[in-house]
Amino acid sequence: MSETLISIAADILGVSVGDVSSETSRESAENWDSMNHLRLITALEEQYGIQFSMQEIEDIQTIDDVQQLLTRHGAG
Amino acid sequence: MASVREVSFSYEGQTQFASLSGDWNPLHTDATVARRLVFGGLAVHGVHLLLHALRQVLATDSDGVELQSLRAQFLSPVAPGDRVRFEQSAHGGGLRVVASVAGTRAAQFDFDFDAAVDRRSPIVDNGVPERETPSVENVETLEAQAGRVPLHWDSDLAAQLDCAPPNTAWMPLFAALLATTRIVGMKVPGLHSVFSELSLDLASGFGRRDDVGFNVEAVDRRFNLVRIGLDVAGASGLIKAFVRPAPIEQASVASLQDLVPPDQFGDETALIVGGSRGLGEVAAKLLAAGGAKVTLTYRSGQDDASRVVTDIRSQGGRAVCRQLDVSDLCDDDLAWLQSLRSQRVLYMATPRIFGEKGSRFAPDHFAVFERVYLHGFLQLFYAAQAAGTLRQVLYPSSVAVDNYERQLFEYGIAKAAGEQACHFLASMHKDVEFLVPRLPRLATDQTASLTGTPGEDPVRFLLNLLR
Repeated sequence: MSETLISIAADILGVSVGDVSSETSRESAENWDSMNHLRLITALEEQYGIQFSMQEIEDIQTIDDVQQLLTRHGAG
Repeated sequence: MASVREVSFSYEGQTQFASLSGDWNPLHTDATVARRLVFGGLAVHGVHLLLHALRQVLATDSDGVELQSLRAQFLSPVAPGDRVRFEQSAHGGGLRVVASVAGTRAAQFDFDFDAAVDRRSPIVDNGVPERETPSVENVETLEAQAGRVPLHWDSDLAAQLDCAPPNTAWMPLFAALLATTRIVGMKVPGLHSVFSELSLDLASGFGRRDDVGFNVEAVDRRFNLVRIGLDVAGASGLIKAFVRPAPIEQASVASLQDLVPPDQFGDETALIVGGSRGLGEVAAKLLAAGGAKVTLTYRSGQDDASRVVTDIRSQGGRAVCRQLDVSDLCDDDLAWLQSLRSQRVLYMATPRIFGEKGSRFAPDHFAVFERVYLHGFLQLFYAAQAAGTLRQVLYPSSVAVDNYERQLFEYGIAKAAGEQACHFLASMHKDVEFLVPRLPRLATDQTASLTGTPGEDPVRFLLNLLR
């Protein structure tokens, strides 16, 4: 798991780094609402200079999904 | 060092802060307009929270330090009257202040300080900016917009609002922060804006100018997100703001006439409770287009209700409207409801639905829903039923009843109770038909969101139900 991803996710979800794992999901994380989902996406896009498609963004359910997406885009 | 303060922002303070900052966006100042906007009600200016957080940070040590950078993230709206907790802690090498309401983060502020440098900071106390009208932009017209706004400061008003800096050396920065909300709320994106984030690199030369320049750098059409570059009195900065959805315009009566034969609803008398906007508005127009005599009620949206009535009448339909608060019905209201001799009652009244904060069941919030969906409904039913003419009640329920979304906890239970009430009433009043559909998300102001989750077209849905 990329440390950058964990640190960005922790910052956006308002939790400590230790509370973010690959299993952290939109279902389980209290602050992972639609607005913070969007903030997470734009923060990662800025960090890595990439852009996700709307379908990719909608398909994300867990931090693990995000990690796999970053890998597919050659980032993280 | 951790420090915690609790602050409640008053309704009067909204107008005063609009005056101080020049950000008169109706999202912050006009309760009737704001209820139709994305948050369903008034929101406290994000920069108002920021100034409180900055004051808190500076309260301990404002001499001999200089702010190097600042990042403000506005995460969820704060309503006037909410108790906002400002909690300060060390973060990285700087200070973080989290503003929260009932355990939910509303905003997060990060400040980095360094030793003071000798900086030529201009002092301004030139009064509040002249009041303007917010510009109306959309994602197409925003590209490449740029301009400059002067710094304004009014010490007396700032002091009244607890927004004054600890000493005059900080005045230009406070004035510059006020200018950022003016840019977002009044210039770009203007009327349809939501301020999301502000970052300032003050070490890059703050104090060399006495105005703030802005320049739309990019518009991300996927999310209606605008990036605005800033020249804040000589320092660089960035604003992120959303272009929020405009209030949803429901179909006009003229456009509905093709769908409804003029005698579809005969000569019947229909009461639409909550008919000034959304589903109630559509139902009123459909029934009137089909020949029904329509009475619609509104709680606070008199202008909206009048607009619906005017639209119906302009097409030869019959409609009147009256103010009615179903959560506070008096004897006169009940007598009036009986005198209408309604054949159909459509119970579309609803308080603001989304936006409950915190994960625990909130009894106060539930009570608001219960007053409308159960108690008010029953009172109204008995009054209408006493006329002896009633033959149909439409009580829209919601898929929220068995979707179990945390945000809709209180709402879902109140709606479920209302559903059950309808079933009981139906068993006791065989002459009245009860329609209790669980509605999906339909495209109304209540369901509009920043990220655009469009609902189903309410017209066909309601028409099938009413026929």
